[in-house]
Amino acid sequence: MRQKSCAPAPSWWLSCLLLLLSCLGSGWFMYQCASLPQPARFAPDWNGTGWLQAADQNSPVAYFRHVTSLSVLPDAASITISASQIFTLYVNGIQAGTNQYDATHGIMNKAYLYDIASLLHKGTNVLAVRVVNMDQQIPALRIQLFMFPEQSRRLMSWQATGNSALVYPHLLARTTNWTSTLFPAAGWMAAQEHFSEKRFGEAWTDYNPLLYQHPHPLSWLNVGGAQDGYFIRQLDVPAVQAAWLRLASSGITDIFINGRLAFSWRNLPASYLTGGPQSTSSANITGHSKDALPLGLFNITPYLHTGANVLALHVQALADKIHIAGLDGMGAGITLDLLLTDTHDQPHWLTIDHMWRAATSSSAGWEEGTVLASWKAPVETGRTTRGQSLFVVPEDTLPVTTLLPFTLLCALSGASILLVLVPWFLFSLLCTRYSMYSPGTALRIMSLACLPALALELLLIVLTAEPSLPAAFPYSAGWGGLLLLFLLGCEAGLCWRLCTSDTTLSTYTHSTPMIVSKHRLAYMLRRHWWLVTLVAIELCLSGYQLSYEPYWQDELSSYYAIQGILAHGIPLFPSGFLYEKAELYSYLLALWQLLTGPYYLRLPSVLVALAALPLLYAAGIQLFQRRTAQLATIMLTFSPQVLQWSRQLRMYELAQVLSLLVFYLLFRALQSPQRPGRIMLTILALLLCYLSHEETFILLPALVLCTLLFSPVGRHRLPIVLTQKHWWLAALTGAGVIILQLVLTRVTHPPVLGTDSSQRPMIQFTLSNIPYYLNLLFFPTTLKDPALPYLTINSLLTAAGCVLALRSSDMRERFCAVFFIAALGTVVCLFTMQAERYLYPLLPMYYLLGAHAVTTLLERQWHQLSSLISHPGRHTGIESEKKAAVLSYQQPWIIRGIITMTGVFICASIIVRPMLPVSNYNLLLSRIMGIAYRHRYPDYGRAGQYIQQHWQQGDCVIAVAPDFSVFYYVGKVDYFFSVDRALFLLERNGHIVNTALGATALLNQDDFQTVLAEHTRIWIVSDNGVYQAQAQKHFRFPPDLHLVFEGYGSAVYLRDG
Amino acid sequence: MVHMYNKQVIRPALTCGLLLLACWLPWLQDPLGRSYTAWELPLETGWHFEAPFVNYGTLCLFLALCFSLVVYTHCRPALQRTAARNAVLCLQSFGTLTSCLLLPRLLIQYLFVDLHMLEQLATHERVLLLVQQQFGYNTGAQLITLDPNGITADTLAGRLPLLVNACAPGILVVILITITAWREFALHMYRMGKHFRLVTALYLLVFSILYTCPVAALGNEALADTALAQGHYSLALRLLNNAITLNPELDALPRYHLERGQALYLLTPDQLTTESLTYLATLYPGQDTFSSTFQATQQLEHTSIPGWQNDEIQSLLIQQVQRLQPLNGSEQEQTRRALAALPLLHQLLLVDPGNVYALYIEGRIQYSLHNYSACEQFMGLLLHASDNAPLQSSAYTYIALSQAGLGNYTDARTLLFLAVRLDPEYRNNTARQALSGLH
Repeated sequence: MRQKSCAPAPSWWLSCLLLLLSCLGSGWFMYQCASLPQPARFAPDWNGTGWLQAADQNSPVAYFRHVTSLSVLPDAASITISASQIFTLYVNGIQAGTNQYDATHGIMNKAYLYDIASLLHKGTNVLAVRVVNMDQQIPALRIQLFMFPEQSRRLMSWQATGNSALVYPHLLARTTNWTSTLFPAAGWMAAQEHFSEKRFGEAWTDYNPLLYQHPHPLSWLNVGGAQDGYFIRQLDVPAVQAAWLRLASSGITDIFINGRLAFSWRNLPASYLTGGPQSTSSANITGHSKDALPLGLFNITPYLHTGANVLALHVQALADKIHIAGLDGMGAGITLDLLLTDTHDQPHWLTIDHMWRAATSSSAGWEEGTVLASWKAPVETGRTTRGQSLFVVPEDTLPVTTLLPFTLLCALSGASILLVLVPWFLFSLLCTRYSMYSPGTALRIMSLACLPALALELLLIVLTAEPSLPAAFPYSAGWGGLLLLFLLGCEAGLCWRLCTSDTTLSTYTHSTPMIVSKHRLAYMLRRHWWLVTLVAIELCLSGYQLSYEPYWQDELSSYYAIQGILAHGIPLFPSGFLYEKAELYSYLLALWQLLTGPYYLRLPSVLVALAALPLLYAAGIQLFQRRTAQLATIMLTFSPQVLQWSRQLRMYELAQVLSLLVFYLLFRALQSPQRPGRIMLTILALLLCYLSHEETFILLPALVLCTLLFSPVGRHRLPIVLTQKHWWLAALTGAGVIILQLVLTRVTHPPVLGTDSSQRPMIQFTLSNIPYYLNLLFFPTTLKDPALPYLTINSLLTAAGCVLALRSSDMRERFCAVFFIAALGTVVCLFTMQAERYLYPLLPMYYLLGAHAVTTLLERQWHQLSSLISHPGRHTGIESEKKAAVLSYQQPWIIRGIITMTGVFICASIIVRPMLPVSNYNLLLSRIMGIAYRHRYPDYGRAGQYIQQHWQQGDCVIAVAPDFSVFYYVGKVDYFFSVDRALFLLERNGHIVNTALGATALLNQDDFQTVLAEHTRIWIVSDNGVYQAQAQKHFRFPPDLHLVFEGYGSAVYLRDG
Repeated sequence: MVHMYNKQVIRPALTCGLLLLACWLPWLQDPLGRSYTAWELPLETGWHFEAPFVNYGTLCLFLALCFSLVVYTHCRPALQRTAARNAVLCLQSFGTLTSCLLLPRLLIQYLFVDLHMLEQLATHERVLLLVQQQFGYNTGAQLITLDPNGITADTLAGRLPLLVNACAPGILVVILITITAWREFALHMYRMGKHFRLVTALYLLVFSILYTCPVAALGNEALADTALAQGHYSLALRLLNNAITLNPELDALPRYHLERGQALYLLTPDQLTTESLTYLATLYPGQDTFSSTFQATQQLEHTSIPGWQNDEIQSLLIQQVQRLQPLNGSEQEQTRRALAALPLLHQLLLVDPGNVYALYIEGRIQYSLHNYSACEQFMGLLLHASDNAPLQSSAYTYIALSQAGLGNYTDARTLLFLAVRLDPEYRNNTARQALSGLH
């Protein structure tokens, strides 16, 4: 049935495409290296400061406070801070910065610098920091205050507490009172200091600390009150490692360096700026004093060269309309300084001097320095309060436009084209001269030599997503040179091979075929050793420390369903509600618990995940070819989704494996439709799959469609399966069981109470899911969920795989594509819920199609190359292609090397990209690499532990969090705030209770008031997040409720009468 | 034989059917609810030629006619031996080439020529997103997620997502037409050889010349930006004048006039014009934009203000209301903020009585202040101003809640049902919870 596809005719368009891609690749690299300032890393100067911890630490959250008194305001004040893991820094009650965004995106080992001079005032000042650790470690803080002229100040007298009750004495609403000077922190103890560097790792900063520690410039240059001002200065720059410009101006500023417009910036005081701690640079620019001006930090290294440079600035003043302290009446003005770091890492500061020239109007070519001799010196004015009026902010936080000039763009494009085309042309010329190849053939062959370098560049670009790699990786001269050498090496090798083809073509010898051993197991192990290795890796990655994550609410529904089965024989929740979801999984788990006890309930998911690998491999071999199956299996092994769901007490892993089984068995059944056993087996697998997780109904349309499309044709050109009784019988059996399950679900569900969005039908035609799934697959970063894996490359490959498979004449490939597209279409357009996990059952098919695209494209390149090499003259049609395909397996090492390297780099890119950043990927890998990791699910366990320690007779528990989580960890839930939960309500004994536990719903303020009146001691367990915010929107909480415990994802409030 | 029949008859017939279908389907969907069919989308080339019948509907109909003639000729073998064959071949060539370029033409038109349409889409998208933020429940995601503060039609990168988000089903048919036409093109190329290549080259040349002007206009504008940065204001003005000569559509864009305003203000700071006044208003956020700009302009012009300035003033007033956040905070804080926002909203309604943002926010503020009749009035006006279903659902919800506030519970219930009916995706929790009676 399978037809070996012939290699397509070698064509010019493919060569042109490759050359274009190579030019783009080299252009991108050159643009990054030559035109953009590359990030650097600096070791912060801690001045002997150690890590601070709270002495009374018993939770993952710690609070730190330092009170200092200033008689004179400093000229410069900055803070260097690093934490284990997430910090929020406040200065005098104003949030100055946080690393929340970075930490959730896998960047944890980093120190941050903040300019706080404008936030300080005379008298008492408070520095306050909240630190959260989400990795079972003690929250710790390392902080250093630098003030000028006082120099570095080691802050000794830090107070700290891990007891949130001392921080938020009253009210459910979280306030920031503890960050203010008036807060009574009497109960807080002195922070303990530790000096263990290894414990938390070395932190680095993105900016040279000197940029923050150096006092702000005092002098301002202006043009005598005119609104428009032009400033210019020639700079003699020695060989420098880095050059930074610190600049503030009185309005809209255009910065030209050597005639090139580098930045455009509208400089406004802090009160006019938007943005804040959620921005990636994590500096809160809006918190600074109202009329303080940002002192922008600009990395101008790539714009300068050794020798004479021209720095030109055009300022249009805004200060006449906006009040900026000290700038009234100044008109267009600037203040700036430059930090040049030489090749020996020595800093040199250039400040305002007499060499500046200025004018109130422009003249031709002024930005290039032609007017230096004719323009006059600007007016210089001084300011007295420099620390308060300016604050240092990196340029990426400000509304700055970075511009790429057209001339530079042209120069870069030209250089990149030359870099690729010149060697290509020269080597082709050599080939034509010294070999039997025609010029056209030689040019086309040599274009294929760009492939490995392109693939290597792709891998390097992919690796930039890992924050623990060096800052400038890979955009440095070293890596650029390596790429160029690699390209030249491939071209030279290929050229050499072509020039000596007569002697080397026959040197390749076939490897000895493997003799089948008498011992089948040993043979299988030898043949599939890599599969065994993959299973072992998967076992380690998935099975390591399964109890690390606490149970989350969905896992606990499965848990209580199991307990229901063990107690009553049916999956009943504690409320008595029949949980008709994933029945098969629940019964299997109940059996597992019966055999092994309640401690290893997550292990079955790991085992099922291991079984998926050989199954996918087997299916892949049947449907595609061995290499495709191998690549797909590797992709599945390292898939972040698999490593997530295989570590959970949930049915998704089982559903995925059974979906794959259904897919495979259906294919087998369609191969021999007359054999009843096969379709019966398929239907059995389908029912098991459906009962393992009802959401796998998404396979049903795909199943019917594939059966009709891929069944052999019988009489009247109708699919033969329509005339086979056993197919009808199987279909009726399957439909009967599914309908019965649906009827039972409908009949046993209690009557519906109320209406809200939770009652949206799960199956409904909708187009509103398209944006979500489109973004999930192709633009995952737009969903702003750091837990989502980056699937763009995989999705593009799968899309390409679908197109290739649909265009293929091979029925098996088309079967796979149609099955996947139909099932995906059902999820997107018929299933109204939106989540990444609803695509999970289709993941093996997704990877198979992606792997198919890779192997097909590589194979085509292989044939292309072989065909061209084997036929030095003009290509002569099908006959020569077939010959080439045969000859392709006899190509020498250089050809195989080129294709192999390309394949290896591309496969590595595909596999590695979803794994990055590693600190968000897998616990075991993070531990091995010594990288920080964090919990994904809230820590209700600690909250429950706290309540149990302080439990008294007659206490009442209200959940503002998932009810199962509170019930499992606390042991009791009496009430819960019902917001948007109508689907989960039922009526019992005149009360509205929830379906999970039978806890009474608090529907409105009156209900809540009644509970408050009835009970003296009330515990409220909250998620400290979305649930709490929703409850606070709908309910008013009494003032005597106070926070007693705080976890990284939970909080406990108590009203003790 | 069957294969040839398929290629010569079925494909053109299919293209013809798709073209006819495209004529009647909406192509673009305005965020505030209006749909644009092919008949409402003028065919613009940037050459200042405007006629009511020159639109995509006419083009599609003409192309459908071409393809139907081709089909007819192939179905009648007798006709193929006459001189009509050559005429039909010419028609087929023209039809194929034009269909191939239908989608590129549309893209070029809306990305480079008809900038006013994109500016309008950007304004409506921004307003809708800002209003949706106040619904209190999640709304449907956009195909490309946009931040209301980041929406811009000033750059190509800003216009592309706006256009993608505005795509309606008709565009899918246009894509299908383009794909089938490309296949037809390849076949035609194979059959007709170098004659067709020549025709194609000529067609592409004419096509490129047609769209040179608007692209050159954008180039002039980019150069004017650089000239402004360098301080060459006279040069910048000259370039901007060139730009508007090349593409008069720029006249509708606030950005264009602000650039002119900047150049004019810095050249002659004492002679304020409408453009320089508006430029100054945008420079100083937080100032009393309306009084300083609108009134000054009226004094200058003695007439109503131009459209672009109207847009810009609305945008500035919306920014100021957004800064106040009148629907957020505690009850007391909300009242304080609402009272501060009301004059701005009144000004906004003075500039544009159908401004969706002003009507919705004012309605909500009146509801929170328990002025139920006023809330009803504003929400009622909103229903007339926009056809957007989620917006209407929310408007009906607040009319219903106002009715309930006035004690008309039966009417309130009827209106809530109406709100729920406009919300098939179960997003409007406010209406559903009010209906349920549980809360």
